[in-house]
Amino acid sequence: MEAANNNLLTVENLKKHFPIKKGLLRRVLGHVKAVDDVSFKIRRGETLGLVGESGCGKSTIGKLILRALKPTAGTIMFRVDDEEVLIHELSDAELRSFRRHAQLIFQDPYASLNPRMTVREIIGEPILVNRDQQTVDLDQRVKELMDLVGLDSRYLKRYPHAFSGGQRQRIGVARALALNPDLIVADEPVSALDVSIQAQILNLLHDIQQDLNLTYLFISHDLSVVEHISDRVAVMYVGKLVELADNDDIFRRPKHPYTEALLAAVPQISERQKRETYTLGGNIADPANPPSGCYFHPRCRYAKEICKTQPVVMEEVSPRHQVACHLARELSLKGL
Amino acid sequence: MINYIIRRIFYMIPTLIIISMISFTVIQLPPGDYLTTKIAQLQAQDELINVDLIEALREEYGLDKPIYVQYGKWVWNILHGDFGYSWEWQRPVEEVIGERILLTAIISFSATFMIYLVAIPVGIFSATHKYSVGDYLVTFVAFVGLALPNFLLALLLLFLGYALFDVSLSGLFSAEFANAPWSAAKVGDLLKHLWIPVIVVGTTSTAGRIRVMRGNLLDELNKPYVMAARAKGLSEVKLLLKYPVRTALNPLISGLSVLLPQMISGATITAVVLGLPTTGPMLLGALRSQDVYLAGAFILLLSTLTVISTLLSDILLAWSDPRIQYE
Amino acid sequence: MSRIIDILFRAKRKSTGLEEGEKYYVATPRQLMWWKFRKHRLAVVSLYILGFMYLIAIFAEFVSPYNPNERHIRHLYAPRQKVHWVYDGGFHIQPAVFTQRFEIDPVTLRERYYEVPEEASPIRLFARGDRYEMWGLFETDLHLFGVESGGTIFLFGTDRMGRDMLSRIIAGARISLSIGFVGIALSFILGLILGGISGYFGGAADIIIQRLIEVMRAFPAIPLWMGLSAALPMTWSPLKVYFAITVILSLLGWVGVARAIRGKFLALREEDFAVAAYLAGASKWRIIYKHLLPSFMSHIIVVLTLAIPHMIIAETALSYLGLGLRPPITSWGVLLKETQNIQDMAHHPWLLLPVLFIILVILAFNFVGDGLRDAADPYAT
Repeated sequence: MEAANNNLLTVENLKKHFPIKKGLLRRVLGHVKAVDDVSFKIRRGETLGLVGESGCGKSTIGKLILRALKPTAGTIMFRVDDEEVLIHELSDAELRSFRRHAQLIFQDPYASLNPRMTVREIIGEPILVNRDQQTVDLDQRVKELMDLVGLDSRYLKRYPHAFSGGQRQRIGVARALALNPDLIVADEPVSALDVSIQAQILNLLHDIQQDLNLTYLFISHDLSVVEHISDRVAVMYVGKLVELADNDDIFRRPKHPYTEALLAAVPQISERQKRETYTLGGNIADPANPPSGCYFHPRCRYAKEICKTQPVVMEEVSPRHQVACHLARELSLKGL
Repeated sequence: MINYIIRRIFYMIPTLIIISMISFTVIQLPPGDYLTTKIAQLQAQDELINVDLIEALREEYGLDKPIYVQYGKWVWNILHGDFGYSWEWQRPVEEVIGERILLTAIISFSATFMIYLVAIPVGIFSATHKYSVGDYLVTFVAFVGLALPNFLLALLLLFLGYALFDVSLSGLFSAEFANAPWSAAKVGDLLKHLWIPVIVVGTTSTAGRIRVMRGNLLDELNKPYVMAARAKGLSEVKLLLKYPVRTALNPLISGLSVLLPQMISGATITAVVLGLPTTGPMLLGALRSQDVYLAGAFILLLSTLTVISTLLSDILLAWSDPRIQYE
Repeated sequence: MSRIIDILFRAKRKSTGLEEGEKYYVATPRQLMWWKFRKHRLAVVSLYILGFMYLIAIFAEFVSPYNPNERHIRHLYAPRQKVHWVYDGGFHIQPAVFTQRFEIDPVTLRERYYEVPEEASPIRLFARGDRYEMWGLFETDLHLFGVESGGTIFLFGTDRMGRDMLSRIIAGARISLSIGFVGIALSFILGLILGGISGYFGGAADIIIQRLIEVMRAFPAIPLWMGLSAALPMTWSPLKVYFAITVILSLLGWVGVARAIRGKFLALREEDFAVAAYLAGASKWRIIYKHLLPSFMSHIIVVLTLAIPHMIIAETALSYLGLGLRPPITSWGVLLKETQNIQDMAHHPWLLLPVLFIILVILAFNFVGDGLRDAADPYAT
């Protein structure tokens, strides 16, 4: 039972289907299965990296956990002070009081800050709208947060247009931290930044995690970034998880052909051992009309007959290593 | 495509119903009705009133019935080609208005045609000669044109024609043709007079479209594919006409559905200033004298004309722009 | 970068001791917009022209030399009196107008006015003239300028009843310029409510409002305006007619505003910063009022600015047709209505002066709108 208590977030059979509507009467012609039967857990204090190509549904998972979207089915359990909160069931009013526990860091540091508000108003907004008990000294708290994320607190009255992309992302981090959340969903937090700035923000995220005992769901399409920050990594393809394992395990010993293909695409500076170069062909499957069997089979170079007909499920093939592949036990795949 | 057109025609029905209701409400708004006003006038002049005749007319048009019965009767009759009776002209409405609606349509459509005929090449010129003397001239003229409402333009043209050349620019026909039956000569005479109202009605919108065309084309010319095409050595004219101009035209075509109502509106008021034998002056007169069926028929038909032209422009857009899905 | 430096440099004038960079960094959205707007020279000039015209309209009674309805029966159709600096045998700093005399031309048999240089009336500032009541507050006879009693000053000539055209145009400015604002205010309220509901809440309300907008857009405006205006009872007081006409104008004017607001709402609702506020626990109303409204307000102001000239044109057109405002209200349209006869105009061209002012105001509004559109989003790169 000890392990269970340590889980901050438990997601089970999560689904999000967007209806496709046409015509005046808005007839539903089908569904885009953006997230289809996804289950995972995040332990308190760890970072779970979620990777996949764009459009695979990874951002949708982030939005579902934060209830920016309402799930079609499935459960999302969140542990607050030894009590399980069922996020998927919360009413609007309950949701507003829950918001303090989970916050989001956005991808685009330009679009996510209202250009018409000062830094003080932006970082202070979550505090202001959640101020229910005693009144806190807003300026003082905002300055603390700015110090925490490495911004000069003299810039309190500046507007976002005064800051560079990296500094803006620091403002975004400070805003996410304003309510002392337990979980932070970081949706591609560095992919809009220059590479030199990426490292700074990643280090910042790492440092504040240590200081504040934060839990991260780190969403990214960039495996080298995920490798840098994650404790465990989940790989997603067309609305489903295909592999979930510890960081080292998944990067050295991938068990899903899709993971292997993604890893093969990671650029390496020192090519001590000659790696096999291998490019993933074809396009990502259409989530409104996915292929039969294993969704990955049309692009998989190991695909066999069974892959075209039989759907796959996640299985634990070795300790703490789950894979959804018919051939997981047969193949020996290359990692980094 | 056929499906799309059928569906669009189907969508028109609720719009037309609402339009007929608005038209009917508008003409019923003034207190009293034509007969009451007429009786009051006659009484004031101490004339004898044939009470029986008045009552018979009242009966026939259901003026004593509730408003929705009158509306129902009105619509029912129109569907059977009977637009009612014009008190003022002492004739059935459809006899009075037919030719006038036609002439309004001719002016409106000619003006629309002229707008595109002028605005597209001038807009292309302006965009391809950005910041040249010609461009500045076009921009200046376009801004003045935009600021010149068509009835003021009509007024100024009339004034200039009279003050400088001592000619009257009003009317659509020369005196000898005004009441003559239609003939080839009369059509020719119409064409000779048509250009003034067409210019008057079209100027403001031409100016607007020149600005739109120029802006769109400039946006389009800044796109990388244009540079790529130029790098490949495509001739400038071909390069221009093949893609950027076609893309820049789309907003102009979709703007047609807003343009046509404006043209019909503009033609109405211009006609009053220029004294044209079209809908404008007669509608004004009908509204003033509460000749309800005549005014109602005008408002209804002008609105229907705009709805139909909106439909036409949508079909044109669907046909010209492959990005629009009409499945 | 050079742009930023440019902005900084221009901002320097009012430097408050803050370091120059900081001045830009803490600049409010309004300041940024103003700095950007200032670059559009024509728009700035137009803004000053409009400001000047509205100032005149506000102080109409004081600025106009005569009561606009007073008939100078010995000066019917008097042409414009010119301003002279050379009179009484020499140059004077204080300009004067010459007395006009009337004669019948022996050849054409037309009436003709001629000036008599020997009878010069110097133009005085703050002269005494017709008595009037200012804004219903106090009574005075002080005018901005005028001439000694005995002389006349008809800088824009007089109409067929001998009324001073300049005073009438100034009186008309008050009506014509204000009707645009009042009409647009009503349109804005209607458009904001309907467009906002449509854009933010969506669903059935959106579909119904969308259809309504479509129908209204398909309606030819002028026949409808004519129909509605014709329905106003002749017995109504001028003030009542004035408000009725503004209501009629805004009944159709809201459509464009509602469309713009709906479009902006839909786009902004999905913006990251709006989502961030939602995820921070902000209420719907806070998001609308703190995030969405400020973001699209500048765009809406552009739409409104460009819609005002349409209102002015519509009022003028309706009044010109005799369906809008009626005497004794004086609007520019009413002034034109009084000279419907082309011969009348050709012989007395100064009667067309209102047209000049209408065009000037419409042009100015268009340029200001153009400048505002450029400045509306100061954060665009």
